[in-house]
Amino acid sequence: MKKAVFLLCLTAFIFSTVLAADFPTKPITYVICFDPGGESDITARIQQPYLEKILGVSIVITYKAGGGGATGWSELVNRATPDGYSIYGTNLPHIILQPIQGGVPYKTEQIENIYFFQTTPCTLVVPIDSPIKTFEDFVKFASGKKSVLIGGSGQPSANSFATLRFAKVAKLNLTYVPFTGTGTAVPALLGGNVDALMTYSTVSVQYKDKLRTIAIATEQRVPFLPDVPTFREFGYDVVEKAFRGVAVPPGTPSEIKRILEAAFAEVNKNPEVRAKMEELGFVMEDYNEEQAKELVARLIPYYKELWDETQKMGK
Amino acid sequence: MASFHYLLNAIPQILTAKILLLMVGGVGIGLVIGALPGMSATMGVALFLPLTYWMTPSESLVFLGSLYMAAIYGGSFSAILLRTPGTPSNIGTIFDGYPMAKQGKGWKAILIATYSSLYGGLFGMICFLIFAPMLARIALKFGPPEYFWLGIFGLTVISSLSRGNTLKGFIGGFIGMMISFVGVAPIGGNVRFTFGSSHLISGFGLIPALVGLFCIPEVINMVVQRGQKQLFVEAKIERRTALNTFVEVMRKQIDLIRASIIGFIIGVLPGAGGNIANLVAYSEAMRASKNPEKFGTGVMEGVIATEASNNATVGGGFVPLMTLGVPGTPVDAILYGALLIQGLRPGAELFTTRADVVYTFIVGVIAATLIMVPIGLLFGRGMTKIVYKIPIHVLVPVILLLTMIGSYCVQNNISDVYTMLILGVLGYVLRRFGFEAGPITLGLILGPIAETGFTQGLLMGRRLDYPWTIFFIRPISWVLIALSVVFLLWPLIRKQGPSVAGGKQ
Amino acid sequence: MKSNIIVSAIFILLAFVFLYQAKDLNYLSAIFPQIVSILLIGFCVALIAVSVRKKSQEKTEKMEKKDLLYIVIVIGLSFIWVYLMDWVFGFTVGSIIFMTIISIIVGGKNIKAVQLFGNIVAYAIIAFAFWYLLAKLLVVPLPRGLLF
Repeated sequence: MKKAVFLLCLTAFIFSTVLAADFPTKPITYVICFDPGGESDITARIQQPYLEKILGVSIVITYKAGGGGATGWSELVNRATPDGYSIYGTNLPHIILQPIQGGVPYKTEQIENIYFFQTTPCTLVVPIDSPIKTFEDFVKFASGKKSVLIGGSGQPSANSFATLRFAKVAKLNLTYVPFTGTGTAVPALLGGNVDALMTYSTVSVQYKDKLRTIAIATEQRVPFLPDVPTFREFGYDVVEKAFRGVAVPPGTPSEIKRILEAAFAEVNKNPEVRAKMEELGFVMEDYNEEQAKELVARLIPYYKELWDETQKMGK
Repeated sequence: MASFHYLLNAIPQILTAKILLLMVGGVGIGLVIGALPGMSATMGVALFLPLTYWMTPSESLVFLGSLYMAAIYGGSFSAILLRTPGTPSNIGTIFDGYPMAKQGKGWKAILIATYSSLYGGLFGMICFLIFAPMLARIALKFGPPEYFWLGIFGLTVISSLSRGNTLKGFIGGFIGMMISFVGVAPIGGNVRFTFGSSHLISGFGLIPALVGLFCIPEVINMVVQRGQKQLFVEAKIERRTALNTFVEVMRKQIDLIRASIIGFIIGVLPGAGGNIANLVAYSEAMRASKNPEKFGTGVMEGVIATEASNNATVGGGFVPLMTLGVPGTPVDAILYGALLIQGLRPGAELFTTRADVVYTFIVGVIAATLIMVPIGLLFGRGMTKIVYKIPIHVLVPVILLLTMIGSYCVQNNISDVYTMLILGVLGYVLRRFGFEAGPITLGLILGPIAETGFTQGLLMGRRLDYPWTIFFIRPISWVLIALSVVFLLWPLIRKQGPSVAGGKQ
Repeated sequence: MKSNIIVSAIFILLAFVFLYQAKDLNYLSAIFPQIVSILLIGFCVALIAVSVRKKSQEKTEKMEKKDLLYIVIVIGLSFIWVYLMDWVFGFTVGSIIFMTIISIIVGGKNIKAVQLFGNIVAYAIIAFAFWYLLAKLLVVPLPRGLLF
């Protein structure tokens, strides 16, 4: 079996090097590891026509949802052909946290990110008609309560860590209630089933008329939410965000990686794309392959520490 | 009624050649995708989404909406003729549609499905127009504890669904739930019960499971009947069957309305869709019937219930999507994405800022529901002829191919095809021992809903002295608990319960 | 009835496996599967009790050995079909080959040579139609195998 896999890899490798000269010549599959309609999907859908224009072939978006992305990423590392014709959307901190937690057949280091194009910072939101108007109101409301319910998407996720961190530094009794995505978390808040959401900036922007954002977990305020203060402004050191990027299967020839990297960089520079993304609440970032590697290397120990902390705190 | 004025304005909008063409195209594609075993409405809409980038927002929505509506309807064809739900929303159609086909009344079953789908589809869309803002608020009150009880309530359907042995029905339901546990836990996030297989991290897909559990046993039956020339003999088609059946179906107003209301309400709830609605509507039809023991032998009311309810969920699902910007079903989530990409933000303000888009969409989908009937009948007639005329040995490999394509295309993953085949064999064995596929799939669908609601509810309950009491202190929960208890005890309340009817099909 | 008892026993065993494995999971991941496993055990015990007490009313039809053989062959061929389609033949060629083989086996003596030829043509058309629809129009990556 191992031999067969090796042979297969070899042929694939030979084929891919031969083809690298004129890459790409056929449609590229862009795999989204989450359900259609989510942030990752929308991002890819915005990029799709521009990528097609730059690369000259069609980009096919398919979905391999499941396990909070783990299904898709396991396939990326273990089964996908490294010829550049299948690329996978990746998310931080997910690809760091899942291997730390265990049970997934991939390691963070095995994922070859070639670009991180945007982030979504965590934001704390309440319903627009809530008596809580400001961050101070929230702290007043929460202090001394036995349990304040904070909804968010996923566990472990950027949302859950931001909540834990906030609970710790502010000494509040916050209970994090994970939802399967922002699609189910928002109605839970609107229906009063949780007291607030620790969610992403995209939600803050897209539900502007229904939700009030009272704090954002960034270093500085963001341009599309100029009135929203950061946690740091109140003396709470909570900075947490999710990155979105794209990766290729391990073993993809570097010439092909360069071509894809350049294509994504160009798409990211396109003012139309930037405008569309910012309008939806994404913060544009540019990390090429090298910078992406550094970023991941820097974040691994950080999340390990946070993870150990949550384990110590217990349930 | 300001909306009425917008509606009138929208009618000429859809009468352009391009929009009409898109509607016909959407309906045609939807029918084919729906009728293919395993190709669900979600997949159809996702596959054809890229085509809409070059359309205006209203064109794109009308096209995708038509496709969606037609796919839910088209799924009834394979349910009736092949005993395989074309989409998860057509599971219940098998119970009476397939026996009808076996008796040679396949064409009549398709006619019934068509008219019921038309009725349910229109009912849902009209309710959406009238009740949308009001219902959206109520739907929000549905929190985790309510979803837990909704799951339990759904499971009680088993007591009327399982013919023969209720005990076995519930065991089947629990087995379905156990299958749904495999993979990453929805709330806790742990990887569980994968037995070391990386294929199983995402769990067993619903579609491969459905195709396997329903279709493969049928293929095996065909193999057993290989001596026969055709699968079943078609009864003589009387003249004017189409018209007479229409009159017959429309006489069942109470059945139609009951099923449509159930479908619409379940559609409004975020997270629940046609897959639950059709089964609930079926068991409700059975409970209301004077002859519940006849269900499962090919009665008209069974097909009416499932097909009217599943198309009514379409309009129901648009309620949270268009008023709150909260997509309730996977298809609605894709539509949500399609709107965002077009630069529109779904939500109540869309009704005022872009009323033209919203009302063109509504009128367009209503028109597509009407267009669906002639196209569907043409398509259904052809498919009936093919299934009735083709010899078994030719049909078996084609159906096998369809099951493979259907389960493969969900995620373009070959391991889903193996899953489908394995579950199919398992389903066949269990069926021989009296464990029907219906309850198992119900468990598979409801397991995640009940579990998510349950664990989230426990977290919410932390603010109480006893977390568990969260499930018993909320008014909507009381209603669901009461309904569950009534359903569960129904066979006892009504002595000539469904346990009389044999499980043979 | 004997078969009920055997099946129940298997399910009970399965439930215990789940219960055992759930021990290592965190509370939120484990609680619901544990409850359902216990319920499953309870219902299975009830089924055993009922089966022991009253003699069987349900009948399963006997299956002929020959039928069973055919079923095993067709299902086995389906697995091989998927496997070879994935690794060797690719979608179209693999489908045509295996559709023909299965058709011949199921049809047995009923097939005449002329019919067989017609069937192969029909299968080829079906396979190519799907290939065109999926691979070309919708750009779904179908299994390619070595030949394509």
